[in-house]
This record gives sequence, structure tokens and C-alpha cells, in this order.
Amino acid sequence: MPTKKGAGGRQQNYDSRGRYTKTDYAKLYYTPPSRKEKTQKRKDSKREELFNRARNSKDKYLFEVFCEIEKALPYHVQFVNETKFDPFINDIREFDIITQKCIIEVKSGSNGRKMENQFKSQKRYAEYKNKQHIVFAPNLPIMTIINFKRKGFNITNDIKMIINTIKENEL
Amino acid sequence: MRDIILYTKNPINYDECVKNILEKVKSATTNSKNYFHSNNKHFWCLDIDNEDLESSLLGFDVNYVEEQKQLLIKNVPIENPISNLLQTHRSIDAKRIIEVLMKLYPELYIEVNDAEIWFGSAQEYLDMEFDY
Repeated sequence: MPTKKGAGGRQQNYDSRGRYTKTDYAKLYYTPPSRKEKTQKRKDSKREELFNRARNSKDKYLFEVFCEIEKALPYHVQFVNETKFDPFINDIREFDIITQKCIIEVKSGSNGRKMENQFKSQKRYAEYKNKQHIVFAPNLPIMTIINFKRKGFNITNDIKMIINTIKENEL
Repeated sequence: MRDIILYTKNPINYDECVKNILEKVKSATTNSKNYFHSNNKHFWCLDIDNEDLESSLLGFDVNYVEEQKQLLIKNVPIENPISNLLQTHRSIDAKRIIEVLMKLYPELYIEVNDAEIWFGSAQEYLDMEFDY
């Protein structure tokens, strides 16, 4: 903005029509954010977006699990209810929670029917991406959980175990 | 996502379903083999694997196998039913798919696998209102 010295020797601004304008001190003393601040702002806005996605999700325990993971390991969750391309079916599939090294499936069902094939295909995808597959199923009976564990699936009804598994893999 | 299990007397034929589902459900796409899913932000998917009871219980405990068999005998009025899995966030998406499949397979029976398991015919599912 063009300036000229006024009567008292102070710098004064005027616009293209020659009218005096007030000095915008906010602009005068504005310091652009540093790279660190910009990265942090981006991280925070992404976290807020994930938080809203988890909260608005109609899955029963998803928000609870997301909050627990974020409390224990902030900024570790990368995606919530995200669709990813699975080359084994040549199409997209949705995953509940994806962190850097883990894929977590949240199941609210109280019967283990038709879960085995799901877990197999999710585990196959997780191994393809070098991630650990974990299932959180709080309503499944304990014998059903034991049956699935015998089949080689990482399944639990305890959130703390999930957080410990994530910590083992990521930290 | 919520698991909705579809029981039929005969295996669901992909070629029979594909035209009907793609025509009547706007958001549907397919991988041309055995998998349908939505192409909008409300994701649902239908996996046609036509699993019978015996093969779905292979490798499980004897008690678990017996429990599942009794549950099906008690609640599903189809002998040796074939099961397929529909996963959805919203009941309206499930209703749209079930409406289409009901016309091809009138004996269709539904199990909603949630905190409380719900069994019912396809028409009963369409008439009920769920909280999702």
C-alpha cells in the first residue's frame, strides 16, 4: 500500500483514489505461521474430522474404541470407516479403524456366525499391507472368542488389550 | 457395520441378481464376480458366498456347533439354509436390497446380528423400524 508522511511525520496510508485509510496494524504486525504450526493445525483438523466420523457412525462401539485409542495414543488413528481397495476381491472394502500398523474391526454382534470369512479377508488385506489385524467384539460369548483365537484370529473383548497391541506394534 | 445374514433355500445366483440389484438400487456397483457394494458415502456391501451350515462351522468346538444348529432350527424355518452376508450402516439400504432379493427368493429369512439377535422373514424386516 502506498504511504506518505503526514503532518506529524507519521506514516499515513492512502488508497488508489487518494483517500486516507486507517493503518491495519493486524496486517502490519502479521507473522505468518511457521511450518510446525501449519502441520499441527492440519493434524488437529484431521483429528477433528475423524472424531466427527466416529461420533456420527451408527456402529455401536466404534466411538468408544476410537476415544480410548486417542486418549492412550493421540494422533495414531489414521482412518475411521474408510474404504480401501482390496486387490484380492478387486474392489473396495470398508475398515472400521486404521492406524499406522493396525487394522481394528469393531463387532457389536453377539453371535459369531459369518464372521470367520470376514476376518479371513480382512486379515489377508492387513498382511498384504504389513499391518496387524485386531477384532474388538465385546458382546461375543467367551467360548466363541476362544474358538476364533484357536483359528488364529486376534480377537478380544477388552479395549486395554487392543491398546497394548497397538503400542507393541507402533511404539 | 451391522451384519445382516440372509437365509435362502437355494444358493443366490449372482447372474440372476445382478441386473435387478443394479437397476433398482441406485447406489449399487459390483465387481462382476460375487460382491456388491455402494458407490456413495453410506457404505454397504453384499458378499455372495452361499455358505451352508456345515461348512461355516468347520473347525469349531462341538458345543459351539451344536449351539448354532439349535439356534437355526429354532428360529429359521428353512431346512439346511444357505447363508449370505449383507453389511450396512443404515437399515434403509438393507431394506432396498432385501426388497429386490425377496422377489427372486420369496422364502428369504433374515438374521440381524447385533447385541440382541433378531430373526424374522424378509417382509417382517421391511415392516419393522430399526434405530439405525
